Amino acid sequence: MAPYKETVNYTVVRSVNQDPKFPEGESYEKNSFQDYVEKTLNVRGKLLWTAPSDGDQYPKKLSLDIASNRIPDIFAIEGQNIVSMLNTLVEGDMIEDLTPYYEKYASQTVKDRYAENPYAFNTVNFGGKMMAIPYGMEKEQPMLVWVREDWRKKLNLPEPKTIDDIRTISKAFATGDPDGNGKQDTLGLIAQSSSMYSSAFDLHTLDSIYWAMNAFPATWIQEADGTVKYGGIQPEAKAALSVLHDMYKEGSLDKEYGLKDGGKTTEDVSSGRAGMVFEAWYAPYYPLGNTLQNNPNADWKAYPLLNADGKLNVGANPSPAGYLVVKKGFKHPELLMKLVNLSTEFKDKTIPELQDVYEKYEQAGTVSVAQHPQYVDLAVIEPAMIYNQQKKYNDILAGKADKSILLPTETSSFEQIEAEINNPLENVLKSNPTKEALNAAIANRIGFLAYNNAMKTVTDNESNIVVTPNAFAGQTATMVKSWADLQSLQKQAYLKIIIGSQPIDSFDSFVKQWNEQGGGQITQEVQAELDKRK
Amino acid sequence: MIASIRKKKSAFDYMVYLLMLLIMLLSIAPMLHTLSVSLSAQAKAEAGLVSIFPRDITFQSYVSIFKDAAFFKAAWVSIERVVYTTAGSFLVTLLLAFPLSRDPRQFPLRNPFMWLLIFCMLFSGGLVPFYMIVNDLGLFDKMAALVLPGIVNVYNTILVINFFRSIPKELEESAGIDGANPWQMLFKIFLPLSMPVLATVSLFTIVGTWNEYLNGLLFIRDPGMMPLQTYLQSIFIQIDPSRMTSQEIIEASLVSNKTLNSAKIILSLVPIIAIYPFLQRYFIHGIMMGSVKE
Amino acid sequence: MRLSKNSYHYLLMLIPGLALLAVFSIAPMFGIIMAFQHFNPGKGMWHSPLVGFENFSYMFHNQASWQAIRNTLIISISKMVTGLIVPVVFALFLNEVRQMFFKRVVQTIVYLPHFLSWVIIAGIIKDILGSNGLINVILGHLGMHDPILFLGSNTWFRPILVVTDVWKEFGFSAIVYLAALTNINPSLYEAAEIDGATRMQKIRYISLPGITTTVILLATLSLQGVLNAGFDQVFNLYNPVVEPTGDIIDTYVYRIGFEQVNYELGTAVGLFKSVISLLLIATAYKLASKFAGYRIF
Repeated sequence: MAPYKETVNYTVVRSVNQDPKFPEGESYEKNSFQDYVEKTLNVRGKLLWTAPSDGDQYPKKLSLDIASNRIPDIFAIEGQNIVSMLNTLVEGDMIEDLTPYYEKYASQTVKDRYAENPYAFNTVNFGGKMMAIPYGMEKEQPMLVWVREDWRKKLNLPEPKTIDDIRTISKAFATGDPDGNGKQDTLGLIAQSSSMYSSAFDLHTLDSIYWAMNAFPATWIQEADGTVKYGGIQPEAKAALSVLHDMYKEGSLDKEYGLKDGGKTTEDVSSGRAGMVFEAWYAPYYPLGNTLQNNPNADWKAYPLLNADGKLNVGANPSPAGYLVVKKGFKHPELLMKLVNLSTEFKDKTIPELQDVYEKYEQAGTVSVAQHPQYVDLAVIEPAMIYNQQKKYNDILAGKADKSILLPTETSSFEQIEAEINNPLENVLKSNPTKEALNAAIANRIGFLAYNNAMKTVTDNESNIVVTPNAFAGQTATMVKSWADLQSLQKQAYLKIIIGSQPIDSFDSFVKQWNEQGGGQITQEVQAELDKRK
Repeated sequence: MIASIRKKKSAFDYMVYLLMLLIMLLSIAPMLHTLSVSLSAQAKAEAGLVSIFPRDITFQSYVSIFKDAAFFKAAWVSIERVVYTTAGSFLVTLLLAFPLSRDPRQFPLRNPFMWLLIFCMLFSGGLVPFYMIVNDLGLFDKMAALVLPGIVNVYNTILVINFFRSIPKELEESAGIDGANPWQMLFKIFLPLSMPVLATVSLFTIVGTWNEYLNGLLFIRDPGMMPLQTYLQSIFIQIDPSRMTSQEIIEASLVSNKTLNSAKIILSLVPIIAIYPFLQRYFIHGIMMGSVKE
Repeated sequence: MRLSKNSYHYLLMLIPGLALLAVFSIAPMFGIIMAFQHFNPGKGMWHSPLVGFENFSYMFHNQASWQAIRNTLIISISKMVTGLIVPVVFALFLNEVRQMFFKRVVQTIVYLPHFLSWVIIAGIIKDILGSNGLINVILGHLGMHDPILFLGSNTWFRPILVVTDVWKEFGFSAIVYLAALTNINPSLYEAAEIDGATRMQKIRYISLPGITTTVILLATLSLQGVLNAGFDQVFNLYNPVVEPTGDIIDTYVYRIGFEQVNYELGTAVGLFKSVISLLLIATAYKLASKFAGYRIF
C-alpha cells in the first residue's frame, strides 16, 4: 500500500494493559510498530488518552466522550454495551459509513478471514450500510461437560453420553461421598444463575442441557424460510425446563441453584467440592486448574453432550468483542482499513523488516494482548485459529506430521502436552516431587486437559457441530423500552419452574405475558430488521 | 473527666468493656480475612479456603502492585492531592460555615444562601456536564482537576455550621465587646473551639480524597500525574488462555483478581491508619480543649 | 436592604466557596435537561428532542418498577432508622470508657469496615450464610436438619441488607457523635455526680441531650438518601431468587441500562431522587421550625 501524498493526521484512544512488559524503549505512546505505520503510510497518529482494559473503565470514559460529542477520528468500542454505543453513534450520525472502503481497501487476507464467518457483519449492518468494522470473532465453541474423572472412576460410573447419564453421575457425586471422607460435602452439577443461559460464552451455565434438547433460550432463531422466532418461548425450552426441574427435585442439580454467581461456582470448583460443570475448552486454565493446585490427585475430563440426533448443538455464534469506527467528517475513512491490514500483517508476522522487533518483544516476554501496540491495533485473526492449532497437535501425535509445522506461538502448549504424555501427573506425584516440579507437572496437566482432552473433543466432533446463530443482536425501538423487563420476566419464570415454586405449565402463561408485554411487538420489529438486510 | 478522681470499676464499666470487645471482634474479623486473602495463593483463596489466616503464604499480590516505581509515584501524587484538598477544604469550609452559622438577624442573606447550599448538595447535572466543564477549563492533566472539585463539601460544611451554632453566645459577645471583627471572631475564637468537628470533617475529606479514583481516570493521562487509586484500579489479571506457557500458568496460580483486590485495599488503608491517631485525639478525649470557664 | 456592616465581611467570606460551587456544582446542572430529552450526542444537549416526562415513566410503567420503588423505600427507611440509632448508642457507650488506649483502639477498629468494598464483604457474607456456612453449622448443632438458605430467602434478604450495612458503617458514623460529645460541658457531669446520678442516668440526661441537635441534623440530612438503598451492596449480594424483595431502583435501572448507555434515564432517576429528597428535608425543616421553634440548619 502506498503512502499518502500529504501526511494525514489522526487522533485515537485505546484501552491498555497496565503491565505489558514491553522491551526497553517501547511504550504505548512510542513504539516500533506505530513508527512503521507512520513511515509506511505517511500518517501521524495522536493518542489522546488511554484507559485500563479491565472492567468498565475504558467504556466509561469513552461513553463520556461520546456523550459530549468529543470523539477521536478513529477508535474502538469495547465492553458490555458495545451494541448500544454503536447504536447511539449511528443514530447521532457521528460515524462514517464504511461500506465502500471495506470492499476497496481491505486486504485479501482480511477479506478471507471475515468470509469464514457468515455472521461477521450482522451486527454492523444498519439498513444495508456497514457502519463499523467488527473484531474479535472466533469460531464458535461448544459447551463441554466437565466431570471429576477421579470421582467417576471411584464410584464406577459410566462415561456420560446422554442427559440421563449426567443425572445419574451428578446425583451419585452429590450423595455417594466420592471424596471418601464420610461427610456429605460434595456437589454434583453446579451452575450459576447471574447468567442462566447465554448467547455468548458464559461459564457454568446450563446451556449444555438446553442445547442438547434443541432449546435456545437466549437466541433469535431464523428458520430456513426467513421467519424469526425467540428461542426463549418455544416448546423445546419448556421441555428442557421440565427436565431441569426434575433434576433439581431429585438432587442431581445443585440445591442452591439460583443463588450462585460465577464467583461462587468457581469457588466450588476450586475447592474441590463440585463434581460437574459446563464450560468451554479453556476451563482448565480457569478455574479447573485450581482444583488440581489444591488437590493434585483430582482429575477432570471433558465430554460432549450430543442431542437426540447425535449433533453437538451450539446455541451461540461468534459475536464481536468490539467495533472500530471512524468519526464522521474525517477526511480519510479508508485509513481505518489500511491500519487493519497492517495490524493483521503485524500479528501474522509477515513483515521481514520487523523480524528483530518481533524478537525483542519475545525476549522481553511482552504479554500477548500487547504484542503490537500501534495505536489502532486491530488484527483480524483466523477465526478457527484454535481449531487449526489442535488439528496440528492431533496430526503430530498421530504420527502424521512433525513438530516443524507448528508456529512459534503454538509450541509451548504442545510441549505441555508432550510432557504430560511422557510423564503423567500421577507418576510425578508418586515420585515425591519438589514444589517446583509439582507446579510444572500441574501446569503441563492443565495444558494437556485444555488441548488434548477438551479441544480434541471439539475437533473430533467438528463435523457434528450445528450452530444455531443468534440472528439478531441489535436493538429495536421497543427493545429499548421493554427488553430488560422481558429478560427479567424470563429469568424469573425459568427459575421458579426449575426450583419448583411454580408448576411447569406456568411456562405457558409466561409465554403469553412475554408476548403481551412487548415481546410480540419486538418479534415483529426484529423480523422487519432482518428482512431489510436481505 | 478530671483525672484526679479515681473511680472504682463498676459493673457498668465491665459491661461496657465486654460490649466493646465483642463489637471489636466483629469488626476486625473481616479485616483479618481480607489481609489473609491478600497474602494467600489464589488457588486457595478462590476455593474459599482462607478464613482468618492465610494459606500458602505468598507476597505475589503485593509484588504485582509494587512492581515498579509507578506505584510510589502514584502514591506521592495522592499524598500531594490530599494535602492540597484538605488544606483548601479546611479553609473554604470555615469561610463558608461562619457566615451561615450567623443568626438571620445578623446576616439577612443567610437563609437564601443556606438553601442554595442544600440545593447544590441534592441536585446534580451528572457526569457528562461535569466532564465537559472540567475539560473546557483546561484542567486536563492538572493537579487542579484532582483538587478543586473536592474542596467544597456541603455535608461537611453543614456539620461545621451546626457546631458553630452550638458555641455559647457569651463567647461571641465578650469578643464583640473587645471590638473583634468577623475575621478575628472566626479565626481567633471559633476555630480553636471547633477542633473536634474540624478534625472530623478533615478526616472525611482525607479519606474521601484518598479513595477517589474516578477523576483520575477521567482527567489524567500523564502517568506521572495519576493518583494512587486510579493507578491501583488499572492493575488486574488478564489471561489469554490460548497461549499460556507453563510459567504463566504457575504465576496465575498465585495471584488472581481476588487476591489482588484484597492487597489493594490493605495498601490503601495503611496511610489512613498511620495518620488516624493524630486526628483521633481531637474527637476522642476526656479533657475538653479550649475550655470556656468563668 | 439594610445590611449590617458585618454582612459585607460575611459575603466576602462566602465568595471562595460559592465560586467553587458555581463552577463545579451549579454550572453542570444544565445537564439536568437530559432528563427530559431523547439524548442524541450528535445534536448535543441544546438540540436533542424533548420528550417531556417519558424518561421518568420507566420508573412507574410496570409492576417490576413499582416493586423496585417499594423495596427501595422499605430498605432505605430501615437503614436510616437503624443507621441512626446504632451509632448514637455506640458513641454514648464508648464515651463511657475511661481507659484512653482501649477507647482509641476500639474506635479505630470499628471504623475499618467502612473501607472494605462490598465486593469483599459480600463474599464473606455469602460464606457465613451459605448452606455450609458458619451459621448453618451452628444451627445444625442446635438440631435443625435443613440448612436455611438465607440469601435465597425473601424473608431474610432485607434484614441481612440492613444489618450488614449498619455493621459496616456505624463506626464511621459514630465519629460525628463522638466529636459532639466532647463538646459537652464537663461541669454538668460533675454536678450530676454530686447529685448521685448513676452512669445510665448521666447518659440519659446529659450525654444524650447534649448531642440531640447533632442527631436531629444528621437524621434530617440522611433524608437525602431515602431513595438510595445501597446499589453496591445489593448488587453484590443479589441473586434472581430474591428479586421480589431485593430489587431496588438502582439495580432495576442498572438492568435496563445494562444493554444501553442511557444517560437520560440515569439523569431522570437522579432528578426524581433529588426532588423527593428536597421535599422531605424542607418538610422536616418546616416542621421543626413551626412546632419546636428550632432551625435544623
